[in-house]
Amino acid sequence: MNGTVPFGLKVRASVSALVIPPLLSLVSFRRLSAWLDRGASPAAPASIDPAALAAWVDRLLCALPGPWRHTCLKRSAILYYLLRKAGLPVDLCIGVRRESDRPLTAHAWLIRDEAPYLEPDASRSTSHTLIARFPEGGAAGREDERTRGRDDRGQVVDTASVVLDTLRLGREPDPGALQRAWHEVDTSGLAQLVLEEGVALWLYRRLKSAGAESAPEAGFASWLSQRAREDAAKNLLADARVSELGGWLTGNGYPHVWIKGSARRLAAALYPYADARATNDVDLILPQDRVREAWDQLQRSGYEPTCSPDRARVDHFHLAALWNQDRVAVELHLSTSREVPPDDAWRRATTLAVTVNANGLGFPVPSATELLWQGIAHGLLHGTGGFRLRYFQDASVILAGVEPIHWGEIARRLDSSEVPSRGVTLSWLGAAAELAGRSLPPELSGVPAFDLIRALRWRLAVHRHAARHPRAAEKLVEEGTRAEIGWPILPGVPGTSPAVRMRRRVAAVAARGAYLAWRQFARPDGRPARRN
Amino acid sequence: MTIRYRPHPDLRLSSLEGEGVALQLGTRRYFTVNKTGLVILEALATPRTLDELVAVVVERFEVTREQATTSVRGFLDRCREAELISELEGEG
Repeated sequence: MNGTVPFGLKVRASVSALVIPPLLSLVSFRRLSAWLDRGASPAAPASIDPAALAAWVDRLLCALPGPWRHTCLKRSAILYYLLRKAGLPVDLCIGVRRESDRPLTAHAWLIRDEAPYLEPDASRSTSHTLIARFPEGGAAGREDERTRGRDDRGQVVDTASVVLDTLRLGREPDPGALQRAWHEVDTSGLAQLVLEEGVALWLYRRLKSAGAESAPEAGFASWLSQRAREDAAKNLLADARVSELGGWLTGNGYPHVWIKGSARRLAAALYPYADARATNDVDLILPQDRVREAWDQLQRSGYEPTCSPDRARVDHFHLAALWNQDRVAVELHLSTSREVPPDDAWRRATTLAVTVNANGLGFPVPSATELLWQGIAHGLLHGTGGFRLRYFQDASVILAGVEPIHWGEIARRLDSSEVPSRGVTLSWLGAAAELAGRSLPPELSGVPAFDLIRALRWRLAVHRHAARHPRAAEKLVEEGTRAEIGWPILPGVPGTSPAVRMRRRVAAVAARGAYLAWRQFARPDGRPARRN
Repeated sequence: MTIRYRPHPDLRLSSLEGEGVALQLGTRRYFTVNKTGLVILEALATPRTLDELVAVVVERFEVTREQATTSVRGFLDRCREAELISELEGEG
């Protein structure tokens, strides 16, 4: 090592920096990595200074225009090629991260000896969840790759159906059938789908309960187990906050009822898999005349607002979220919806409420009817986002439980302003019921359920083919979901310029067209049909 | 003196269909434990000695007492290092 980059290597790095970035836009990374790996040298590492080479590549990319401009993927791909050609056994990793409601971010980095390598900030790579690693498996792995996606008769395996069959509650899956199905599943794009749908923990637990957690392709199985454990650990943090806060509220004489995710986790003994969802915050409702007092007293006890008061929405149905050193947000609610007066909300939460005992304390949670309604209304509050599996899960786990549901009360609320419309709500509820493995009572039947399988097939196809264009992918998923619900093309955002509205309109029309064409011609696995 | 082991006050434990996820609230580090580790940590709801924990493992899994002793001792050492458990000294 001499701390400088030899002239020959500088030339090779410059050529690589010119050639590789455009290829990233033209071919899949899987194919490109196979090409790049052909130059890998099995010999002992040449006498080069990898850090100096990385600095040279960084300088090159920063100096180049548009398509060559420095990104983590371009940098990693170029260094991957150059270092492996020089005999250094580096791997290239691609990971994603999602923090609460922020958009999904991706990062590419190199690793050597299982540690981030030549990374300016190693913590950035460890904070991302690995979804792909190159080089992929050897000859056996590539053979496996070719045969996945088809069963032993050569029939196409429908990944979306296998996912939904695995998640479906109300019965234990057949372990043998599940293992066989997952062994054949093509997992490309599936990690992104599972992340976007928010069902890593649910899927992992279902697979594990059937002893099939190792049946999927190894990279996906490893990613899923890691992601599920991360979600489980985050849930433990939220549970600890619930436990501590429950003691504080009881000790200070504040009546309260836990709601939403906190309630479902507390009541998991009554509703299987109610705790199989990532929970980031803690929600509870208090009587209107005590909520402000509790909020003030919590601040005197060391809690502080999660955002400045001027950023807190004044019309919201809970006070500004608070947190302390563990950074788990606590939301003290006056209501469960802007459409429900606080007195009604408190009455709903306390009517037939159940007290769950843990650690010597009682934790009140709403009745099954209220938990179900909270799941419905909260899910549908998010527009098309509410048609993600994690929101269906909130209702499905209650539907799959044995606690009685007052269907008359649910039916009465379907015409209220808490939900977009009776038809859409029943369609959503029908899908939640299918996922729960049960049917709705006759008075709520008759509206076709939202087609979850088709929606998932489309989303998977989008993740497989448009993953490197997140804004386009988002638009395609949005319009596909809107089409399935029966909603018109997304209208322009009020207050934006006519040019922006026109551009968005054109993009939305194109996305809707793409979805309708796919629906007409797609194969069961979501890939476009091909003629022989 | 007999050493008993008990959960660290900052330990939080969750079962994932057989395996366990253990979170240390203070350090915010989390650990995955296998089925045996989960059984041991759950058994510590009541403070127990090494011998008592070995007996729990021998009863639940098909292992010899020697294998269980080695395995439990190693697991307890790692848990103590990670501040998932603490020791309680007392009269035998």
